[in-house]
Amino acid sequence: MLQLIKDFAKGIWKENPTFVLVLGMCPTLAVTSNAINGASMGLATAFVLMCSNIAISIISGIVPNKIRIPVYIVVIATFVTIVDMLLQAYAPPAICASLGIFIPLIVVNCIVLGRAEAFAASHNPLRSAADGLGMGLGFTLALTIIGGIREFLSTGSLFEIKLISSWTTDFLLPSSAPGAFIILGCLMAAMNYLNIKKSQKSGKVYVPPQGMDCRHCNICDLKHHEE
Amino acid sequence: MSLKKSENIVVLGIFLGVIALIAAVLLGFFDKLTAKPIADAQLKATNESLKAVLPAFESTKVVDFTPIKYYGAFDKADNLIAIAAEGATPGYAGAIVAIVGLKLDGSINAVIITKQTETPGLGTNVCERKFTKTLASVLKGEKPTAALAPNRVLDYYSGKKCENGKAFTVSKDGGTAPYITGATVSSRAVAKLVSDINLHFIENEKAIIEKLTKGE
Repeated sequence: MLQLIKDFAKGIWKENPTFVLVLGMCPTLAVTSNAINGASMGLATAFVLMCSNIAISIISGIVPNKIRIPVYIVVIATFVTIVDMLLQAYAPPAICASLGIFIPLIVVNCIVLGRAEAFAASHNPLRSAADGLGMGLGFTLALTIIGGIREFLSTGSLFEIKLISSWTTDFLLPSSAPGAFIILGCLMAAMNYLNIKKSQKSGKVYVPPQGMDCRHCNICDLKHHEE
Repeated sequence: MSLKKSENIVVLGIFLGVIALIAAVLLGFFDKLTAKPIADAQLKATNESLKAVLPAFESTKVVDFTPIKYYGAFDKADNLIAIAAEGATPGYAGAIVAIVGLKLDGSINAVIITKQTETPGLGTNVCERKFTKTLASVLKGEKPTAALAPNRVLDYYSGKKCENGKAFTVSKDGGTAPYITGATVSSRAVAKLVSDINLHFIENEKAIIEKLTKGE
């Protein structure tokens, strides 16, 4: 049980797919022009991620090594197409229209295939489901936060509700792709800062999750904190 | 020899085939399940657009005059009361699709854009009709009172008509239609689309009305 909670929780902060693993950048930058789009894209991906993780963890024992990637892609594409059809049938038309092409593109979202390869293929279905749900919610959270910041900075509203009613002219930078990059960068820097502070407090050295550290880059100056 | 380490190309092919077959069956099942809801949702979306641009009507009928599609709106006694026309034109980024409500004399009742991919914050201001919700209005539970959210550019066309076969042009090009700074291309596209539809209707008015009112 403890293991399940751990599998679930790591996707939200410690191995957040957007801010730490930096996967799935295409939808992250493209659909997060407002909070509602970010949240619905995140939830669609979370659903696909959980279903594909479960299915892949069940079949991984018998899938020949040589063709495992095509098999995983077929599984993922099936779930994505199902989500696409369900959204068209039951989701509000406005959401459908604004997510449009990005729903089919979940197939090539690195998070989904990445979790299949890195986790689901070597763990049991229950743990894989927890991992998929955690990663999916981490992704949803990240997209909603980026979308919310972009929406607020460009129009002064949040979830399409105007918070500052005298804000009438749109500020275009945050709602465009370059603005999305800048905001994403600021958020990642803030997350690194918090992690470093936290480990300093407990007298430890901050070590990013294995294979995901950024010590080759000296902007955050992680070496300084290690000394 | 275990399946996992198999390198026999026939075994691999069959395995992939079986997986694809299972996927196909699943997809077929979901397609059947969602076919009707998807059609209903699309029909509802069209009906909602028609309601927005036309006076109250009882039933509709579609006729196709490529490239423009006409919807006739009928009242209870089956009299044609108004017509809506759907057409498309290239905008700044991708096609802009509009539904234009037309009175029987050819003048425009209202214009809405049903599909567009213009630049957020610039071109979308030309195309979008959206009520602004404020924190106060949400907390008080206020609902918008007008049927159609205002839009400076689109509202210009309401009640107008292309006189003497002259198309609408934006004020920058010597016309009177408004445009939004930074979104001239989108504004021009909307002016062109509305004129195209209006002129097409005026030109083919007799044929369209005849086709719409002719019995089943």
